[in-house]
Amino acid sequence: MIEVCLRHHLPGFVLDVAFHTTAGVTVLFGPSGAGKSLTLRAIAGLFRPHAGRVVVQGDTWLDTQQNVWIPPQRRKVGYVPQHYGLFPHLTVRENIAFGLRRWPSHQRTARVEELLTVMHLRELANRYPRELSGGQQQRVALARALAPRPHVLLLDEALGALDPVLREQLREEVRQIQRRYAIPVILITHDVHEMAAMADKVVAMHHGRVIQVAPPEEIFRRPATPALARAVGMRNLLTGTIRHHTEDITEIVWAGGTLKVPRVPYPPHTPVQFGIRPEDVVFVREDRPLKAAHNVLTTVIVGVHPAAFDYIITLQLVNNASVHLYARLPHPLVHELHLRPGQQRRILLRRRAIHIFPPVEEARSSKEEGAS
Amino acid sequence: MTLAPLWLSLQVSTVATGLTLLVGLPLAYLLARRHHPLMNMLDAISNLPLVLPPTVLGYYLLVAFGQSSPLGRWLDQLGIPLVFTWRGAVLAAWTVAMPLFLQAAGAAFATVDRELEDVARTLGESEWGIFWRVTLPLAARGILGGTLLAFARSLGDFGTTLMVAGNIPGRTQTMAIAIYDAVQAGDQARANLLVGILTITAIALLFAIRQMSHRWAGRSTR
Repeated sequence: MIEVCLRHHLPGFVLDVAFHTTAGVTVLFGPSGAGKSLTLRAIAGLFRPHAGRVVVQGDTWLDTQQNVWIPPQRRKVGYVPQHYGLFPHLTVRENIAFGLRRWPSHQRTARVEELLTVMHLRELANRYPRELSGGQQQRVALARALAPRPHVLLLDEALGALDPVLREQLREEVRQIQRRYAIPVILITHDVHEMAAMADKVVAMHHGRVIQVAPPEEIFRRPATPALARAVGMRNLLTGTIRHHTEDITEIVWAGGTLKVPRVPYPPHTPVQFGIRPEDVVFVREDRPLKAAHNVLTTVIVGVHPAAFDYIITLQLVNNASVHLYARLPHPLVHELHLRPGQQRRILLRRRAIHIFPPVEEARSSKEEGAS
Repeated sequence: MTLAPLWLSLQVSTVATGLTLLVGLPLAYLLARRHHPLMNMLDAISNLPLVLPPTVLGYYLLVAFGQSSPLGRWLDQLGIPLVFTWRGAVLAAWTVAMPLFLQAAGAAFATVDRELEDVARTLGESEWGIFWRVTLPLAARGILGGTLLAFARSLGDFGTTLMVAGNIPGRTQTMAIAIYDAVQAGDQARANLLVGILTITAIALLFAIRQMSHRWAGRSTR
């Protein structure tokens, strides 16, 4: 269990962060300037906030109310900064042994050898960091951080600077390390793919605050704010007004029609923002009977754009040309449906896939909730 | 007898360089790392010897350490007078060498990546240990360069040394002063010899600095 609560005022920036996590890999996710690095450095003890509390695996490292401050030297953290921070004047072996100076020499040697093997660095043991590739440097930095058996591993965008294939490989290695040594990992990234690939739990940050703490699926499906929604690929962000509620359904007036969405607790006439992921925009198969009678819209295909693993289809509403939507379809389906620009097609916005953002006042209170 | 000034110069420069390292190393580190108005003032003062004429510098030292100052009288009572002794020459050489060393060593400390020190902290290394195991080795090249510069500057000092230590053959007459003396006395042969020795020593030192920086540059880009 890791418990973090920090408050710090800088000119033009306020850090006000609180979260706790029991996850194997916790990802601090947010744009640059969100305060992710500062948070990580505070956990490591490299930055001392004005107020706060950091408790890791039962050890209190910081508690400003109790006047507790443990220096980084005694915190048992493994820290890998963005550019790895390898000591250029030391060999791979010496780098890994750096934190083991007070160990008895035979134990130290055994530990270094173990890590050289586990991290596939045996052949590189006597090289200097400048003689290594980026991926190799990364592995040395991980080995060095793990050597003194830390209670938490902190990675500051440590996988960012590598090429995609290598990054994939190192993500897997970090996951293996996490399992092998049963050590909690806190990782920083602004890359949504990395977040998705690594996170058991996501701490989404923005402007020095935590805006949501949730598993990645929930961050993708139900992001707390439109800004976070954009960052995680919920490209269709729309604005409507609540019309009325029935038992478990809320109707929203939007683009001249109505949409049915799962019931939300906001009163009628409230303007709301809502979003739907491009994957959840479904093309109606005209050759098959249509079960749903609502949330069906007639659109014109504006463009069909190949993306890395699928297609992005841009659409325009027939009865309101100012509304654009994005759909995302796998390769075979685009061909099967013969989607071409200029065609008129009916689409279905699945009710359960439509996510209503809390109105602005509500957004603030849910922020507090996420931060408590 | 002819070479007495050379030995004296080497002795004075070695002691002055040692003092420079002893005082300059911690001072350079503080100047590079602690940003405080007091530090800025100290930085300015430590550069003063670079811009003041050597005679002015010598005059200040004379006033501060001479018979007429309490400090000078106290040193006299202790039996270690500075003025008009070889120790005075060391003081003069140290004063002129110090700013050169501080510049070089300060720049070297300033370029050490602070992130490496942070990593060392998380690996359990004490602040003292970080200085010896990380900061100093990484700044070593600049510090070595600064040390050689300080030695070279000490060896070549004329004005300040003359003011503080005077020109006593066999006791305070360093190379630079002996050369001046020889020229004044019209002893061309002696002047040529001393000039030759000093020039060769200077070239050797500069060559050593270059070699060293080449080797280090090679190590850091290989």
